[in-house]
Amino acid sequence: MAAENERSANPLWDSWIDTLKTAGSPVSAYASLVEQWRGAAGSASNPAEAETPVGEPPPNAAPAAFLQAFLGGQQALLRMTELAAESMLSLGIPGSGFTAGPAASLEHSLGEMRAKLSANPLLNGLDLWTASAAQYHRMAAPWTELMQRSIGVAAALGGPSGAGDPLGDALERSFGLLANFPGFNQELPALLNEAAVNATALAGARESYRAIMAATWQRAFEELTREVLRRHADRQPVESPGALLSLSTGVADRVFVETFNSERYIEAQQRLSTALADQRKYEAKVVDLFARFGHFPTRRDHDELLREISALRREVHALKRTLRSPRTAPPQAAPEPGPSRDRGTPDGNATATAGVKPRARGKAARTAKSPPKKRKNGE
Amino acid sequence: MASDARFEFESLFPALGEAALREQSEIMHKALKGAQVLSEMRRSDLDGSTTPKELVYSDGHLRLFHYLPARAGAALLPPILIVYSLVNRYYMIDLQPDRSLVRRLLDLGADLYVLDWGYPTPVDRFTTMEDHIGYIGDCADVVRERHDLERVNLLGVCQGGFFTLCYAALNPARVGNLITMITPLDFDADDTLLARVAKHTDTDRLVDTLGNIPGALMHQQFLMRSPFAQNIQKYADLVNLFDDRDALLTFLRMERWINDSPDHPGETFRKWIKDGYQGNKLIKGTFELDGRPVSLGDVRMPVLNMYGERDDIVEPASSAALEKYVGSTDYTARSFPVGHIGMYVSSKVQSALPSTITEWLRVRS
Repeated sequence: MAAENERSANPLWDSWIDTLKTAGSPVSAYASLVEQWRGAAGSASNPAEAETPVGEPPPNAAPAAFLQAFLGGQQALLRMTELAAESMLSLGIPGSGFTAGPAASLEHSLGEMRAKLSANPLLNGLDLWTASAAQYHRMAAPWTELMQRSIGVAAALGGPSGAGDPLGDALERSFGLLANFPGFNQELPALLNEAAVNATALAGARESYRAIMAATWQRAFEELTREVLRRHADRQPVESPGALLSLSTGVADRVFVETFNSERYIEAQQRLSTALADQRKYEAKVVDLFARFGHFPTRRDHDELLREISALRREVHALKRTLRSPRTAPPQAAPEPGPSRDRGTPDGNATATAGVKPRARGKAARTAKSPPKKRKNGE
Repeated sequence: MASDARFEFESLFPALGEAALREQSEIMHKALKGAQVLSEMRRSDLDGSTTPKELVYSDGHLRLFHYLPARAGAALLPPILIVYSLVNRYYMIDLQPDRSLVRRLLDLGADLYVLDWGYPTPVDRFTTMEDHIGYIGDCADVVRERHDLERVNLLGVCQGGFFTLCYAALNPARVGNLITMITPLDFDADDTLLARVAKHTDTDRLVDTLGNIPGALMHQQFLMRSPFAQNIQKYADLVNLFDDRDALLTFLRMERWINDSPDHPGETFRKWIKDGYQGNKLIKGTFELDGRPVSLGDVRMPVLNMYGERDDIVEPASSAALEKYVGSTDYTARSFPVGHIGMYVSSKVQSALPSTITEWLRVRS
């Protein structure tokens, strides 16, 4: 049938379809195991034909219908596991654990199960179920580990949840996902770590700055005291609070400006402003992180918007300039004026320029006679 | 010990107790007078820019004003477009009637336009130096069109002087005469405290983190030049102005201006510090705007360069260096015995500086 011949491009998907189709059929490769299960469970190949001695309870009291369903499920799961392993290998997914090939691995796993069953015969359906569950767990371990790893890889690669398929990722990205909440992902802790490192640098820069300022204050007080003592010794004491204030501000200005001009201070100020700017940057990043989670515009979005507005403004201005009256088009180059270099007077007295060759200013002369034309605001 | 300490203190300041009481009494008296004067003041009294002007062009925050002539038809000279710095506000050139570069120039027959950069907002963090110089071009075009001129005269103040030099170098045919005032140019020659800090600033980190550079941060850097005089002494002395309404008003207007620090557009600040203070590229001939090399050799129109001999914000040598690099053969330099701010408001230059400009311009018009 055409429908049966339709195969998807995904081998893994096809494998699952095949598995479902063959779930009720015996799996020939594991026929001996199935038989052993049946034996252990006290069942014949056909549950209807199971022999039960009259008057004695069977070694396993599990109902035949349960056993039938159970064995069918076992076969299906074996087949699914085998096909999934093959698919993983065909997809090139590394680390699936089936290094010797899926059939060999399963044979090995099932051999172990067989040995255990021989050593510890099952007494009832519960034992059978427990043993099977343990075996499934072991058989599924490589697959589970692989899935866990792939989720981690997907998350690390930026997939929202490691859903493993593009549509799932796209859906989760579109509708948001709690895993993206800044507190839950790695981005915020990493950012806070960086901010904490910078906070240390900021504290250091701030202390360096304060140390310089403290030393400057100290020096200002020392010099003020020295000046007061000197005046006292010269019998010219400070005679009023106003004079003391004036003296203090004069001395302090001199000392502080000296500090401000020093390389040490400029370097400290630079360090402080750098650390503060970085701290601001981290603050902005944290805010952006939360904004992004809440679907709010981030600082980056805002900046881009402003940049676009500026670019649009530029275009509008360019158009306006193009459309402007031809009268404002650039005229011919101005004539070279006569040589004259007047450097002014060193004492600052302004004098009228002498010996300067006047230039013809026809248009300018006209302007002086005629009033300007009116122009509307914003034109 | 306590009595010894008191003895020492009294010995050092023998008349301090009595003087303190006397000063306190004087201060209280002046404070009462000051309270009365302040209560009679209105917010509008602090408006610095008092000369009548009209808005002739605007674009976003940018506004172009035309100062109305002192008398109808009094303008005798071709118009001048004044380009102020992005640091602080333009109205310092028109603080009040008796301290107004604008008013003096108008009285001498100048026709003045001023470019007001406004207050940048976060959107302006990506507004570049190229954009700002483009805006100067827009305003220059408005002036040229209003007056049917081929070339406009530019007066660049401080950072605005740097911008106008760039504009003039790229558009020499559009500029008639160029006047630069307290303009930083040779940053290697600038060893002021501000320049030293700027040269050590990690500008990329600052701009990337903050976007626009806060005006308050820049304001504090300016105050570092004399922290105690600016933050303490000045206000202690204020008490002496309380009984003088005009002096108090001047003080308050100055305070308003000093503390009116717009944020500096981030990308422009980046280029200003990196290519200016740190790279000194315009002097080295490696400065570019939008990929176009900017050469001072292309500034061939007449140039008047004015600077303050006591300027501790822009070292005089930094401004004076223009002479060595400018392409103009008509170069005039004038220095005045004042500091940076004194160039606008000092009584020492209130007559000399404006007349220097108008006389220089008159000869070339």
